[in-house]
Amino acid sequence: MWIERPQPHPSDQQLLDWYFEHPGTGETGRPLSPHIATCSSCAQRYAELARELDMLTADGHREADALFTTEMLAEQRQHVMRRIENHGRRADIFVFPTRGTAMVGRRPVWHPIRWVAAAAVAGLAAGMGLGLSVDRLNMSPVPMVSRNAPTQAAVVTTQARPAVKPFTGPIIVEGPLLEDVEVALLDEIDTALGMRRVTELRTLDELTPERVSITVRLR
Amino acid sequence: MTVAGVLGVEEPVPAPRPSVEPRDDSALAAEVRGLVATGEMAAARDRFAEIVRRHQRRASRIAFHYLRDLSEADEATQDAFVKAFVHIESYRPEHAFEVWFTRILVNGCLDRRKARQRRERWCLPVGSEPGVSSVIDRTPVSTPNPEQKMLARERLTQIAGAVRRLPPQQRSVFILCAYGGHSTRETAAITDLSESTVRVHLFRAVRKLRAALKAGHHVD
Repeated sequence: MWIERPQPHPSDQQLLDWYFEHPGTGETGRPLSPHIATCSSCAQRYAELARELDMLTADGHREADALFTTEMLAEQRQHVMRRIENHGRRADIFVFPTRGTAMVGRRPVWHPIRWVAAAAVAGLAAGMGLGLSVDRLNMSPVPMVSRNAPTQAAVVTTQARPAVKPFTGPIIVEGPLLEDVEVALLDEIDTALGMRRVTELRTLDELTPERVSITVRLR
Repeated sequence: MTVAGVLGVEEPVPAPRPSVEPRDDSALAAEVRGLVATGEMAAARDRFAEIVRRHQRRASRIAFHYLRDLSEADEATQDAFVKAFVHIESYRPEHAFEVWFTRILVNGCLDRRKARQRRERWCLPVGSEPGVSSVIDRTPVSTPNPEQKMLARERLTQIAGAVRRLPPQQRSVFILCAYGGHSTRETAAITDLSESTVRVHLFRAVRKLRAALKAGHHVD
């Protein structure tokens, strides 16, 4: 003889699983398992659980649906379809309006002024660099006195050239400053000074000692 | 012993919603995929509009409860639909489209939450709980009695606060099951958790929320 064992009461976890596995239309329309249908205590537990969960769900739906109205959903659908239609297309770039006119283009606007400014800066930098290098070359000391000269011989450099000092010894000068071209230039200057007609050179004449007088003085 | 055995029904339990089997929207998504593959974009967009119409209500609810912000939820929903269309070629018709799409949506919402937390780390929030109280104030309560109306709003505030205070996985599972209407099996597929883990998280979340409802104050 078979004795029917009583079904154990389901746990809260099992009641919850049953609730979410069997979605109904509410507390009255929700299907009940045979055990819940026959066990009054379990039916009461399940009804309370279902009522609270229905309330939680309904509150959540009501809260979201109050914001996402039918009109807003239609608008959202239009936005989605527009975005899908425009997907992959290149976006327009709106340039900041200048002088009261808005410029709309598909490519960034080319600014020639920027290129001109960049070229000017580059040219200035190159010029300054070149000038510095030339100055450095001119400032470098050039030995102009022969090693065979006596110890009393004066050392004349390009920097010391304008200055005239009273020397007691003979001047022995060698080097690139006394090339033929420069000698010719000095002769021309002497000639011009000798003419006494060039008014612009009179000041120079007064400041610059004449080679003839130096030679005479040295002798 | 399984749930069905305990509850006294025959096994296996017939699932009321064939969760992971392809449904109408899955067939529609497969059709969109085929149209995109053949280059018929206009027809694909036309079919996809029907998918959007079917899913946007549920998607908006899920996004809103994840983000608690109307504009952010709207943007997240739009982004999810656009991503679904753009990557429709990666959709496998043997899976449910709803699960695939909801996964895209949830990932987008989680990214937005992270970005918001990064912003709030450096910026002071304007209000104590931005978005919660203002949203509840706009929620219609269908009762003429002012006292009941006030109690209903207070309950909404409690529930929203309690859901927000849930641990991330419990909150995610509860939102998907309760507000999104997904089964535990679908939620497991969306969240990459096992079905038993989803059930445990759901049970703990519901227990905390019921306790909050009964106690009338926030859960910690």
